[in-house]
Amino acid sequence: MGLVAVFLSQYRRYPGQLLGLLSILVCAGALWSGIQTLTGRAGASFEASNAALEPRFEVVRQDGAALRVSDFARLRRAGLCVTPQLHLSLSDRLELLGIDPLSAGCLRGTMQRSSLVTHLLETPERIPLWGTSESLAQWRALPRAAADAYPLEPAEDLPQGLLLTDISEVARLADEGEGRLRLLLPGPAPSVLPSGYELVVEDYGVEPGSLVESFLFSLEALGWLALLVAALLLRSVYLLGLEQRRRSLRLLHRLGVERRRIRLALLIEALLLALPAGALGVWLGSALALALAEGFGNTLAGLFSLEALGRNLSMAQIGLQVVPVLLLLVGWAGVDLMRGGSETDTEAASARAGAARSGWVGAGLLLVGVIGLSMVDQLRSIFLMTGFCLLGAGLLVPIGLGWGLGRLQRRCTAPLPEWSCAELSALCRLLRLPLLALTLAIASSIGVQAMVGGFEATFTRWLEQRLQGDLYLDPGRPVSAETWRQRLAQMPGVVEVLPMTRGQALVEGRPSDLLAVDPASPLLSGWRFLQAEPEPWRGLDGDGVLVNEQLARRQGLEPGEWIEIRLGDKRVRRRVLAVYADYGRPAGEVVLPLGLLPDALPGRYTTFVLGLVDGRDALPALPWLEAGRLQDRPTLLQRAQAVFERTFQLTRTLNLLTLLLAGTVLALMGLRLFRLRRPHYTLLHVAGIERWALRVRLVVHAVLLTLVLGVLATPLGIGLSWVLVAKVNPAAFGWSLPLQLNPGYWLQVWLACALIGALVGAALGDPVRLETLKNE
Amino acid sequence: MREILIQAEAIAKSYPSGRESIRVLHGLDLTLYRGEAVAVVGPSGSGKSTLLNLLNGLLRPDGGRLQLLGVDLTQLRERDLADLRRRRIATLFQDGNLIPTLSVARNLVFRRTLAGHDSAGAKAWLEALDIAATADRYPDQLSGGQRQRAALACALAMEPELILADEPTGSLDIHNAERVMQLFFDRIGARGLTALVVTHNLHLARRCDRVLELVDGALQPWDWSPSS
Repeated sequence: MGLVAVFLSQYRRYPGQLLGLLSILVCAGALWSGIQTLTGRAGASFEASNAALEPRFEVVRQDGAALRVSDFARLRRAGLCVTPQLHLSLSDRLELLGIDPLSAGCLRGTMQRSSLVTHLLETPERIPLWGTSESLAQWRALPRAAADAYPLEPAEDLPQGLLLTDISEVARLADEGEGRLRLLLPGPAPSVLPSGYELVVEDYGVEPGSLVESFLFSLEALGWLALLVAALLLRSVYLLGLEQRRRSLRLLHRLGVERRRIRLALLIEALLLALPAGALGVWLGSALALALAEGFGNTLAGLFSLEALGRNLSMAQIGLQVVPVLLLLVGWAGVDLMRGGSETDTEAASARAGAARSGWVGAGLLLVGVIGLSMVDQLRSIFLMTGFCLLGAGLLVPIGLGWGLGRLQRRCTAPLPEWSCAELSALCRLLRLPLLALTLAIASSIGVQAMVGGFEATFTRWLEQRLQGDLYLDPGRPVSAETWRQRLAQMPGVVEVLPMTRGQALVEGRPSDLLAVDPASPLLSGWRFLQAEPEPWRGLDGDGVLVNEQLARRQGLEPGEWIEIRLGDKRVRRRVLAVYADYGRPAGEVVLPLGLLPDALPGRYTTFVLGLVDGRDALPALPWLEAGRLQDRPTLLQRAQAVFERTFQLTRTLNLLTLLLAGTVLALMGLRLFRLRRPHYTLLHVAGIERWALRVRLVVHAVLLTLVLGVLATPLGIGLSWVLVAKVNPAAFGWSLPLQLNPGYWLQVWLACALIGALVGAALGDPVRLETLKNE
Repeated sequence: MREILIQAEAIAKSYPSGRESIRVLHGLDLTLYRGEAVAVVGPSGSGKSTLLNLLNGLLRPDGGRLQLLGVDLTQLRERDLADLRRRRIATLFQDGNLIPTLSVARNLVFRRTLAGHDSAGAKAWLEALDIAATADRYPDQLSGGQRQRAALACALAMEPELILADEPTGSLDIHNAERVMQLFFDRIGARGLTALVVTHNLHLARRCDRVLELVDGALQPWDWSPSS
């Protein structure tokens, strides 16, 4: 009981210290668990959709006849995991799809809807129709709905205009020859098929795997940075109270308490700090994740076509992940106490020794990081080397600052500036951990801002170049490009129509998006190329192809190279004429002329760009346009900007929180440390310096310290932004960006730093305390 | 006729304590002549340090007259009091109170240049106190005796007219205390400096020209009879 009382007395005497420790732990727990929750849910979603996005094949008869149940039986008996799907067209806009629950597992994508499949298997006596509310309403409006009173179950994640049910029910509803039976087979394609059958690619799938991982890993890297900052701050707070605690612990030891018991008590203390702070942190982290989930989910949907975030981990699961991390942080922070410390150590002497050690470690880390960065391309290695660089440079900044001040001190001829240099140099040593934390936070803030700002400017410029039309029409269903082009061209006010057909292709055997256009259209004149042969649009009508930056990087393509492209059944060899910038999604894409596309192109879908006469901004309402969606250029631009904002909302939030945490703790530490330095100011007062002069000097010291730190962290931030745009972006998204510096933002950061210093200085008030003169 | 350096008459000083105030000094008189060394003894809390802080202008008396070289300290502005401390009054504390971020030599130069002298001859001052070898060390790297000698060197390097010492040997062992005080009295004697030493150490007090006791807020000659 006595031992507990002694341990608790430290925090009773210094409640601010306890508050500081708990706040940092709560913030670290919240940031860490928030990121873990989001990336965990995204990972689960990716796992699920990965299955849905794998390649699929359709088995057809070589004689062109429609498939029958006997074909299904024959293929199954041949050992192929085929599953039947029966399509029945109910109206122009409504289709009924019947699936076989027994063999649906063949297509792993179908298992995404495992609850529907399970329902069909477990309750065959009650088979419902699933669909979106709108599709179900369309069903109710059909005359046959009254006769076939199915239970209707809403399933909003199904495509519009599609109703899903058991295959037997669709077969019952279909009149002879009305339904279309398809037999689907998952990839990879089997080497042998029974005679009389062949495979048609139904879906090439996509390859977002490594990209999703990269994206999530980039996010986790931010979490690690926040954790590192928190660890440094926590250790700073511990070290600040170290001298007081060492005395208490030595006294306990002298009074007969075994070292083992003292260490055990310290361990229990760490647990008592980590558990409540962890619990609160996890709760706050979940709230943070919940607040950001919608935007994050939309980002994933936009970038990687992940439809929804996966299942949320339980609080207990996250807690189990977070508490050990926090325990580790507290353990590292308090390791000096556990060791007991040298009996003769003094704060100043150990600070000097620590600074020299940190200098060597910092220089070593920086060297390894810089050399490593010039050699590695893998995202994990890039982040690791960047971490080395940041940590190394961060360790060197306070030491370099101290060294510079030492040089300045030697040049000073007046006594007070000399003292100021010496005092600031000492502060750099004593505050090196919180200064390191703030350096990292400032550098990451400047780096991320430069990356986001550069991306924003590039993205906006690129979008404005790309969006040359006045109206953008999505027909709402697959349509014939040529028929619609003619119809649209005859509409009043329309001067230009550009069909844009999208689909899927295999480029050198790997899935890729495809965009087919009319190369002669003036609506394409705004495209800017990163690399190009002369007049690429003209060459596109010949044997050329344009590839986006993502595909060029991933497959190492350059203008002049020949590539093989598979378009449905058709194989073509085309020469790369240009590489174009393509931001907003990481998928690879090729651009081909419209005339080259076969009818059976997987995922074929056409939209239209319209050029209107001046002064016109809409099309007349016509029945055949009813299902379509028309958007004008400003609306599209606005939506794209909104997607952009959402994409970086999480990054910005995490960055801001880390910066706030570091800034607040530096302010608190500064307050405490400057309070401890009051006797030195008092000495100067005794030596004949007036109070007001010392007060001003204290504020100047605090402002100089934080301001110079902000300025020194800026090159580090610029270095980080270079890594982000030139190394991380190509690895994580497939595109690189120009390095865009933003001195206006630096000025804001410097002002914020100066403000922290000024607030600390002002909050301390009069630094002269005569009572500190005796028995210092 | 001996020149009066400090003339204090009916000095009073109180500190607020909650709603009340504690009277520390009241009716205190003191005359200090140039070139003499006076010791002030008294129990803890009797107001010795307060007296010192009044004499070096860190505190202002609540009442009475306090003159240094014929100038009324109570009438001086903060700036003038600071100037007095910078150039004419050196204060020595129990722990030396060197500036911890400056080396011993730089501490000395700091005090000397602040007093308006040139920075030359720092080494000579340190040699005179037998601590030249510690010139480049920081205060936390010195022993207690070395620290106190360095502080004395700094005080002397200011070339002040008055040295106020507050328990200058309070944290030293007997051997070191003796050595520091020997140097102290040698140097102030050699330079004809005036010193007021607050101490508990009667052995040290005995080496001064006069010994005063602070009792009930006022000074009175120390009674050397065995009962005291």
